[in-house]
Amino acid sequence: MTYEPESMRHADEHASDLLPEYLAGALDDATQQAVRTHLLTCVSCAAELRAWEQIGAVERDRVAETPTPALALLGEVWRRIDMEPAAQPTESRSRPVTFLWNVVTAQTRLLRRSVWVASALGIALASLLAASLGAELGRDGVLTIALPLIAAAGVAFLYGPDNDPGLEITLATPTPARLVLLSRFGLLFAFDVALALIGTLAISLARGESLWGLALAWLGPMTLLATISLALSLFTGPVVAALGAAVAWLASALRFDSGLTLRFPPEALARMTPGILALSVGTLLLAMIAVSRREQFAPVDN
Amino acid sequence: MPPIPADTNDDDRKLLARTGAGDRQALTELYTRYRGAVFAYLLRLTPDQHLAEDLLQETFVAVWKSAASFAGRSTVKTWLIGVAHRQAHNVLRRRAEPLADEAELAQLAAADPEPENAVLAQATREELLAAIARLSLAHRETLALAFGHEMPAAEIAEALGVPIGTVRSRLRDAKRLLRAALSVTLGADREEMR
Repeated sequence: MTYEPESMRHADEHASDLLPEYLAGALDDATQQAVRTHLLTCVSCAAELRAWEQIGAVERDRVAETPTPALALLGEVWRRIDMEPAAQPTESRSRPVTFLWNVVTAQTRLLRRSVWVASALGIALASLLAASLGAELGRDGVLTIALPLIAAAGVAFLYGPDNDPGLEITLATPTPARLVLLSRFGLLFAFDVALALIGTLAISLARGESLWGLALAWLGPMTLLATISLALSLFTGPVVAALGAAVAWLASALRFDSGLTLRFPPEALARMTPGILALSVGTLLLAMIAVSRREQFAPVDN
Repeated sequence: MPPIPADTNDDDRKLLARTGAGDRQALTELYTRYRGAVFAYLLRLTPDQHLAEDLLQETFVAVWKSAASFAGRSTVKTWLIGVAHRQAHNVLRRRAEPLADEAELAQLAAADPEPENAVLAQATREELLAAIARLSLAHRETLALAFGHEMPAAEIAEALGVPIGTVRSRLRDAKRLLRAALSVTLGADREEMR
């Protein structure tokens, strides 16, 4: 390689991005030479180099001034190593259940609190609204319309640098990105379903209807829409994904037979069928594959 | 990433392989070789010497546990810095150290007409040290690895687990933020002199 691919392709290009490495002597010979030649004629890069030299000198001095830590500190290292015989390197892999449990519980701390709060509030509001409406006002429809939307919106904010400031560190751990994604989705989705079931149970008790019948009306679309929103969010970011899922949901409910009307649930999604389940699982797998491809730069050497 | 010559790093790799196989003498040798470098890196993340020593020890405990998984994609030093990086961030993130308000600095940087490089070139060592100390953890550690440890951008990217473009943009941003912090200090000094 003669030049860094992204810089110094031509002698008249500025060398800004390469100057720190040039100063540290960390470039390969040809690039080092190219930067040196460029500096002879470029006033602005030469000025920039002087600024970096100032910073570099301070940093080099700092390292030079650092005292060498005592060899005796190693005693404590051995003590800690001997103290935890269970913590062998392969421990997490050899106990998949413990490992999985640790990964899943760790996500509860990493996810934004607002995602949980907003989901819970949305589901509570939808349940209250459905309970308070009369049958003629379409109370059955409220849960069916709202619950898939709430789940889809929450899921859109699960993953990605916009949503998780600690993601960089998460990706530096040996836990595969797809597993992180799956456990986050599983956690939030289970949380949403549990809350939605509680709301539906209250309504079914008050009306003397079957819980199962009421729940099946929202479970299918909720599952499918949530997985679609998750997959979308990996490509478009959270806001577009949530909006996209909402538009898809409304579009699927459009009917044209006697004028333009909305029908919830859409006929195609009226029940939780094996087909819908398979489609949801397929979408989820797609999202996991996409995230694995994307995060391949995460270190594999640890 | 430029390939790392096999011979310069061979000795280290053998040591790491022996450590992975449970050879305590090999870990002792790695510690003796790299304690200074790793400690210097850690001290740029926290001014607390005791905490840095503790993190150094945690780093070598983690090295002992995970040495067998070293895949040889980077130099051993880069890998060690990477382990130290993860240990330190686990702890420092919990402590949530107060940092300079970067948004505020970035605004100053955008508004300030004074040429960036002149301000930096005129700054004294003490002024620069103080300004660097106000940078975020990510900017401080990138500066330290690029200049204190003279690591290529690709190796820094490997150690920190970020793309190489992020390393370069962190360096650019760090310089911009330092300029902003320094113009504020120098500006205040000039005010006092009047």
